[in-house]
Amino acid sequence: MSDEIVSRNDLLRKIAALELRIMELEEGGPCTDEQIDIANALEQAKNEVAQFISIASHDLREPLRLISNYLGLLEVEFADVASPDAAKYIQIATDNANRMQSLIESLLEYSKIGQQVTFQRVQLKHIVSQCLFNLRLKIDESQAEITADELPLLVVSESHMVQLFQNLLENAIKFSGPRPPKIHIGAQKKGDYWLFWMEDNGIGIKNDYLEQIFTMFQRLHSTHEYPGTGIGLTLCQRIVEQYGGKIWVESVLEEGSTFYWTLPILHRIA
Amino acid sequence: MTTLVSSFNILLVENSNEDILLIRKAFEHTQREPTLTVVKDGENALDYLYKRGAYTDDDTIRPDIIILDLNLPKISGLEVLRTIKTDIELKMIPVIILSVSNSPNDILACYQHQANCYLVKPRDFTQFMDLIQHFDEFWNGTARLPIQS
Repeated sequence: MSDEIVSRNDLLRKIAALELRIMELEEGGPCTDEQIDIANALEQAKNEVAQFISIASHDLREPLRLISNYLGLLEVEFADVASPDAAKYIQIATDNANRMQSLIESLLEYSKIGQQVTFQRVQLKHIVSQCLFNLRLKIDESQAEITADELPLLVVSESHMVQLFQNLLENAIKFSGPRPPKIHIGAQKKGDYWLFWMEDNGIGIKNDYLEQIFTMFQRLHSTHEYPGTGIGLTLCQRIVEQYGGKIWVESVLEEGSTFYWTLPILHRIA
Repeated sequence: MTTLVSSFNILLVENSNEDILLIRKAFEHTQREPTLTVVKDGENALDYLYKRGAYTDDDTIRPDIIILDLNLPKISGLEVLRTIKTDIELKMIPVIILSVSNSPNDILACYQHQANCYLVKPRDFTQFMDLIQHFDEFWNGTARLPIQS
């Protein structure tokens, strides 16, 4: 059992080692002390930001809970005496309070990614099955056809992988345009890491926006067209980076997008 | 003069006026409105239960059940819970935690200190009414509580 659970410190050490190796390869020589300091400072800064987001979201949640509750109370107690206009205004305020609630929830989710997690042996095909089950309504509704290559077993956090695959699948279904979505998940081993991709036949992304879409709250469409908080891909990026991987996208407008991401092999288990 | 009360007596230990009003309003929508006594911090909660400090007169009713928030000034909710559950006289009163916290650590700590139930304050008023409705149906209907001596 003990070799199945890898402590967070172990993993962080491995990530640090991998990052150093990447830097060494990129720089063409071993890392200087200065580079090591910069890498450590960067990691610390990322964790501090996550911590700040966590505290801020908790503090924001309380007043918002009271706003939502009092809007509800207003609705319950005065629904029969209020004018249609008043009812409409209450509805708009309630909708927006709810939207803010989901934004705060996703911020909290984001801040949790760096926190203590359990790493274990995870069959990625089981993760995909789990996602398909979670998304079954959306899949049925959109008549999506989803296929996958043989997927590896990795030492990762199960919840990270569910979030990663599910967010990408959900996006591929959501931004499918008029055609029923056709989605394929691919995987290929490349030396000491795995390359994954998810190809769809959706509306595609303009080349100008290929990097922007990973920015928090960045949205390319109005919430009326495509509802969402604009944090899904930021979550994916944060997860992949936690493992020392990278994520990017290639796309042809109106033909489809392919998201690529890498995950290092931390433990090879036969 | 003792007030004759046959209804269900709840001691609500809650610091936030906004939440007190929400809880009152939600109880108004239940079948049998209970008698709600409110104290706003942990010290007052214990004074009330031990009939001391500001609560030495006969009007002090021993509650059938306690709804306890965790985030309280002076003495924390967890400390109030611990005191109640280690007191031979008070420990049979069911204590229901009603907190904003959904943290597994808080939930665990409360059950470790013998909380009878842990509830999270809902995010909207419909859910709030549902929660209080369930609370009332269960603790004031289904459950049998100890008869007070």
